[in-house]
Amino acid sequence: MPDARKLFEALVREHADMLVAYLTAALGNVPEVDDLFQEAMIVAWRRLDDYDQTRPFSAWLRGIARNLLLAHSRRQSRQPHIPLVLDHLENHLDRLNRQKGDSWQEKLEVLQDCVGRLPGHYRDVVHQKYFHQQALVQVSETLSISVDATKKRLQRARSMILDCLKVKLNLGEA
Amino acid sequence: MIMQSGPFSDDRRDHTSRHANNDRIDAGKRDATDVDPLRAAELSLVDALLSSLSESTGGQRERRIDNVMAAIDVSSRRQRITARTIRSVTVIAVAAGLLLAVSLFWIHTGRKSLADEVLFAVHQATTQPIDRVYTIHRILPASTGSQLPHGTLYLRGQKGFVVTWSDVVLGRWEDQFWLVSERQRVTLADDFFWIDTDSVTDRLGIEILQELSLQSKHVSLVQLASVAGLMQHDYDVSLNAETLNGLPVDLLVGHLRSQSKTLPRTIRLWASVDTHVVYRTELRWEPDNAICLELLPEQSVSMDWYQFADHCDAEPIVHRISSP
Repeated sequence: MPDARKLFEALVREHADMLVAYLTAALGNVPEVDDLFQEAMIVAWRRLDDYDQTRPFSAWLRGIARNLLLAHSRRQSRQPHIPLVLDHLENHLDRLNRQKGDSWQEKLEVLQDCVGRLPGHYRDVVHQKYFHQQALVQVSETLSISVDATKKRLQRARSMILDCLKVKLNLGEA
Repeated sequence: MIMQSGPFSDDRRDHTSRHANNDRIDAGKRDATDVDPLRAAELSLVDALLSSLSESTGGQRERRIDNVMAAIDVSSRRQRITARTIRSVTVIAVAAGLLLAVSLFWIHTGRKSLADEVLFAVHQATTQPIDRVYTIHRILPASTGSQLPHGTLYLRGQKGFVVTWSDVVLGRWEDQFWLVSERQRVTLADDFFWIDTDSVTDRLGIEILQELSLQSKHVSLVQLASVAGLMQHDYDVSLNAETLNGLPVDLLVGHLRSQSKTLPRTIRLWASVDTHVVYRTELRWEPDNAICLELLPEQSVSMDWYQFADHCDAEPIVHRISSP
């Protein structure tokens, strides 16, 4: 049992960021992400004997999370497009997972690269917001622009990063 | 509780509790405005990925992992204690002989609370391969405005069940789970967890049954043996003497120990004092969100009833799903 636990903890560590990204993309940055993250990992632990080791653990884990998300959405607002959205997200994460690198952080170098390719003023806003973890007001003060302009710049930056990722991951148009 | 920015978001919810993230939430929401759901999801994914870049050095990731491992340890510890107890009792019993074994058994049962004993007996009764039929009544929040017809549950111990609800039938026999959504369409899986009921999403009764099976095929809540087993491990159980339709019954009330959102907060089982057969079950997630099962008069069905072929046309389109 200690070995199994150790192995599972390694799997949790390896896939935690991917799973959080998947859940956050589906739900938004909400407390339920933590709940479903824990729920998915516990279900994975309980069902570990069912896992086919010849297949990617990340896809199996997302399969569990997908079912939890569908159940969650049914308990909430029930939107008909959710399965389609989840398919879409899973496809993107699957492509990301196939990137070179042993860890999730290494696989995300493609994202770092896209951030690096942003025009200077967009790159700055992303750096302040995400890498320096500043609040919008702080970012706007740092860059001496209005909060509204900061929001728009961030929105545009994310859109450009997405387009860059689509090219690099060969995702095609949505 | 916040539900914003993602495709499942609900802007009506309060968002005061996570002040530090509001900027990102707000930004994500703006991204999602006036764009199609797929684009909104992609933008949310970019936001989440960027966040994961910066969060990787923070404590949030470690806290999540610690919480998961702590929850797993609690569950494993409980299993280890049970296993250790059994091992210890066995060793002592072998050493001391039959007399001591009998004494230990007596002490063991003597120590068990009456509620545990009754629950154990109820669990034993639910595993018997005898057909029992229940009506299923789904209680939904009034705000959903939904009035569901009753479904019917056919149970045969731990091996099989069939649920009929409107024109949908789903069931299990041993390791095969199946869903017949129309007479000519069948979905098969080796675990109900993987059966996608999206084709029947308008039938709330069926949806909840899928939710019930989220934990594992071994904890499928439509099977009363699983319910009783779950109560033994994850619930604080008390026993009350009651009457039901004029008959004296044991009422077992279980309160969930964990914070799981998937499992019911309370489970109530009304069982025969003599045979321990379950007359009524109530699985309650919220005060206005529950499932009730009521035993119907005894009837037996053929073995074929638990196979999908008995519920569809002669040559249906069969869709097989393997676990991913």
